[in-house]
Amino acid sequence: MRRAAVVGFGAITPLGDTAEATWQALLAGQNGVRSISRFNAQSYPVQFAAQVTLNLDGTDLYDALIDSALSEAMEAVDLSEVPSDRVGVFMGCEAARPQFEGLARQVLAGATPEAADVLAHMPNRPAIRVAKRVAATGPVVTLSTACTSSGQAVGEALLAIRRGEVDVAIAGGVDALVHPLMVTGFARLGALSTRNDAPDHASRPFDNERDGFVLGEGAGVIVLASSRVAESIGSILGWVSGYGCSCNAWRITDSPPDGRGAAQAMEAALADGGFSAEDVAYINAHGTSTKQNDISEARGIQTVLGDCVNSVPVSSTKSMMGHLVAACGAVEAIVCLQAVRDGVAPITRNLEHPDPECTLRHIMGAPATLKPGVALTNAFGFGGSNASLVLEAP
Amino acid sequence: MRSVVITGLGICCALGNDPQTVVQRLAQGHSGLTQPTDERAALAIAGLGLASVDVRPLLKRRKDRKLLPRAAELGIWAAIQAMGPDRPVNTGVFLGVGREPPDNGETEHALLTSMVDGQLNPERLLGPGRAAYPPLASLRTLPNLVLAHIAIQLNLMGPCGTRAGADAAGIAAISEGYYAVKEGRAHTVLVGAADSVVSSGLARDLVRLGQLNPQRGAGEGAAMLRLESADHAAQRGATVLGQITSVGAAFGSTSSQPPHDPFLGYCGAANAAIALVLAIAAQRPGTLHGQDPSGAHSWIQWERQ
Repeated sequence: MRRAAVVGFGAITPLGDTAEATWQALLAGQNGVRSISRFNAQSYPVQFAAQVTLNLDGTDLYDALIDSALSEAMEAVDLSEVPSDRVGVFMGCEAARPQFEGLARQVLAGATPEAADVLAHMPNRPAIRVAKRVAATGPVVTLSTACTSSGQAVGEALLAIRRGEVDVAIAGGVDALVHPLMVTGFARLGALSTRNDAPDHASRPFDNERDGFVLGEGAGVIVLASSRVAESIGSILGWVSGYGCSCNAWRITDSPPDGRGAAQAMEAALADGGFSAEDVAYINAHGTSTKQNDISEARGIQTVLGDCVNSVPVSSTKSMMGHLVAACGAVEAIVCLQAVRDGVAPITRNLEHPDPECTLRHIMGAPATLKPGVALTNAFGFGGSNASLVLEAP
Repeated sequence: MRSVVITGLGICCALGNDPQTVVQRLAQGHSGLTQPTDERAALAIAGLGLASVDVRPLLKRRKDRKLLPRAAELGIWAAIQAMGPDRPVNTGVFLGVGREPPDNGETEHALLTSMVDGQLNPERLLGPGRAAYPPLASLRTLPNLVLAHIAIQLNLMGPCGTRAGADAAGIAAISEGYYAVKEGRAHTVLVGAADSVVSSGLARDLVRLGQLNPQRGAGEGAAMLRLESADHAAQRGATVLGQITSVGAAFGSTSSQPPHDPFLGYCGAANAAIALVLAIAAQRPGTLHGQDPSGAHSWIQWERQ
């Protein structure tokens, strides 16, 4: 058994509070990037982001995001007959750095920090929350490799099912960095777009006039199952069929210009699933809209696709929903499942003048009809971690 | 499926910077703890287990020194030791790190000094001035920064992963590397954990959570193992220190493990990995457990070759 069945998925993104709402918005080419409303950003160098619309009602944002995605993913899944120790949780998360603010406030007030506030920023908190909600007692794992985190989480879930360690794996990720500290930090790194006068044009992966990424927030959850139990707990919505990961071993903040780490992850994912470049129907690129990442990834894709590079459509949905950081890998894997299910892939919004150093078959203007085949999604992170996943239609 | 053997060990902690020295000092009953003389004394911590390593002269790029959290220094040291002189292609690296980001210092400082009437003040945060949030500070909080440094220094381009948590994270990372070799995704991997829980803020948080027993001390350290397929080790004539026979993980179960805390201080995610490396160095086969207060639990079984 090389692949794992997908029996449920859920997402909350700046484009919608469900995976299907997000998908319809992506196909319509909608924009999820707007002026920041979560705090008064007028004094900050970047005043826009891709935020979710969510009535928190006192709930912690991270909790609300993961709860929302998990509820949707589990809606049609019945785990009642699956032993709890055969259910694992694989979540890709970073430390919830915005939560440090509450801790700092208590320290300044001379108060002893509450345990709940200390726990609030722990990277393993979402995994623990999910495990408790689904009553899982199998492996509960937190993968933390920056923007690669949840892509790796889905990949590790596939491996755990394949080796028989679990029958069901709840995999995904969450992130929410639209906070003064993170906006300041990433802006000072020069990583964010500063197009304050036109936020809806700010995220433009592979475009010659791109100037950085747009911070986003959201969560994505995929329920994977072994083919042995899949049909007894739900309907098969697709397959996770291959996973590859690699290290750039290059620099902390930069990607290697030749895209070698990215290529290695993509090649490993295709080989892992028993596929070749000819089988690829669509690539959902990491496509952050930063100068270096897009060039490095485009070269990696060119290397992997070889002669097929002119026939495989490529898009970056970050152009519409921003960069969901630790959550992007899982959410974009869901987008790929929807793309191969419906035989159509969304555009790269704002891509008007492709960078000549990023020559690919970009999807521009209107969604592309896909040939039968697999989808490939990429997630690459600060620090040089790369993950690629292969997704198949049911 | 391939057999997975252990062919290299690396460690740094309060009792020394190589496995044999640490085993020897533990056997002699030495303690590596020193008394805190700063604000950490207020936490009533029995002692601090500080490692003594400086890897800065070894770094390939001087620029990398600007982004080098303490856990990365410790991890690089242990990784170089465990790996030995050769650098096989497609070597993977899997690392366990703590529940906190590896370096919160500047983030904490910026938050504490930018608050005005309980709210973050953008003028202070954006600077200029002491309160300003430095450009690289947000990267220093990334849990995978430790792995990134190790990969860069040793040119490791194979499969990789960072597991974040407490004691279980180190054993979970070793398990993932074991699977990578066993399932043929890499023939060689470096696995282990690195953590430093001696900063005042982190020690405060962990005491608050009950994860750090102040009477046992707070520590720092790293422990790494080189794992490879038995065939690959035989081909290159490597000395085999042991074989991993099984690994596992669960949630909500409990375990007990004699800790080295009274001698090294509590080393967070590195605790269980240090215990494993010391058991292998002392040739005491058995099962090692890593247990997070949250309920995550990983274990690994090894035997002599």
